[in-house]
Amino acid sequence: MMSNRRQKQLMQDALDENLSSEGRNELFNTLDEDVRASAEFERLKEVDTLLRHAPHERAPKDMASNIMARLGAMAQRLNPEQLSHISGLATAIALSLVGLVTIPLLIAIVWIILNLLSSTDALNQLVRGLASLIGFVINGFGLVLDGLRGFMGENPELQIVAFTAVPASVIWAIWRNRRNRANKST
Amino acid sequence: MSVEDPIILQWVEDTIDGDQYAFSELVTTFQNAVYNLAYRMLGERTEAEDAAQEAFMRAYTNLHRYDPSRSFKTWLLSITSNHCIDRLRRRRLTWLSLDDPLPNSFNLSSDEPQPEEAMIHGERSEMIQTLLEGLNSDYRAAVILRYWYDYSYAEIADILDTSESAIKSRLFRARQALSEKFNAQNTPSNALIRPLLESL
Repeated sequence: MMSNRRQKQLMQDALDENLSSEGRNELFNTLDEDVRASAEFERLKEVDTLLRHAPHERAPKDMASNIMARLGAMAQRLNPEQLSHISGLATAIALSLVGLVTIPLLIAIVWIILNLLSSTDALNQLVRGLASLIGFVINGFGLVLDGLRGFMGENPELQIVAFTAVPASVIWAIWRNRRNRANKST
Repeated sequence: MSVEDPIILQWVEDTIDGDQYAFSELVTTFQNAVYNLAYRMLGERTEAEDAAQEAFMRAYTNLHRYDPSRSFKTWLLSITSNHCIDRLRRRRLTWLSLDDPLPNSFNLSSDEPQPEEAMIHGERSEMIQTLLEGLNSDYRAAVILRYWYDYSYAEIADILDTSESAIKSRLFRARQALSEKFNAQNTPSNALIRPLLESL
């Protein structure tokens, strides 16, 4: 008597049309002897026949166009994301570069300040330097004003021009501002 | 479609280069195969269409991963079957027990007048679908790929990312389960199936 496993194996091979002539004889002999196995094989063949003739379902007519529409929508959705991804990446790189430049600079400044605070001579030098810089700027302003005063004294007509030009330009600026507002409201 | 089909490969390359028209050619060529697999796996037309669309979208976004030495159809069906298996697992359906009686969809009577051939086609399709719904998703995928697409065990194993012996075992168990379900019925509706079988 053939083992159940062997019997099922032969049935499977028969359904797959993969049975040798010896295997076919072996299976048919078993089926002749075993009524239950014969009934089981008949049932398997029935379902096999049914599945072999199973109809193919066709895609709905508008499926392809729906897919292409979804694809178009996806492409539109992706673009802003990609852009924001790229801009995010650029920002991150820029920040990293700024950090790379700034951090050593900050460290250097902190180091200088700490050195200055720890040395009174250096602190004196710094205060003196700052005071001379402020004095230089004030002297510069004084020189410019003196020069301007001398120029005005040599050309008195310029005083009259300046005297009339300043209020005239203020009046012109106010008038222009009002006209712009009126244009915007209309 | 052979692996070396230059037209398919050209469409794939053009799509990767940004030509959406080339992808529409791929969709048109394979839409029936993808939809049929999705419908047989999911058993519901609206969901099948949605799954088929999703499969194409996934194929599009992963096209750069496609290996041209493989068949494009096999690769596409692999995406589809995996997606459908995921959907079925998410759905957490209460599967029809093999001992349950077949549902009313086996009843061939219809009030709507239909051409006889179309009616037989529709009823046969529905009957097979009901049988398939008794199988778990892995077994169902193996049966569909074997009977509808005529793939070998090795090809099915490749698509479902498993071994050939696993596919052989799944198919055998699936066939047994289907035949038991099919023949366990002694309802009057089953008597109406016989003429269908005899007509094959």
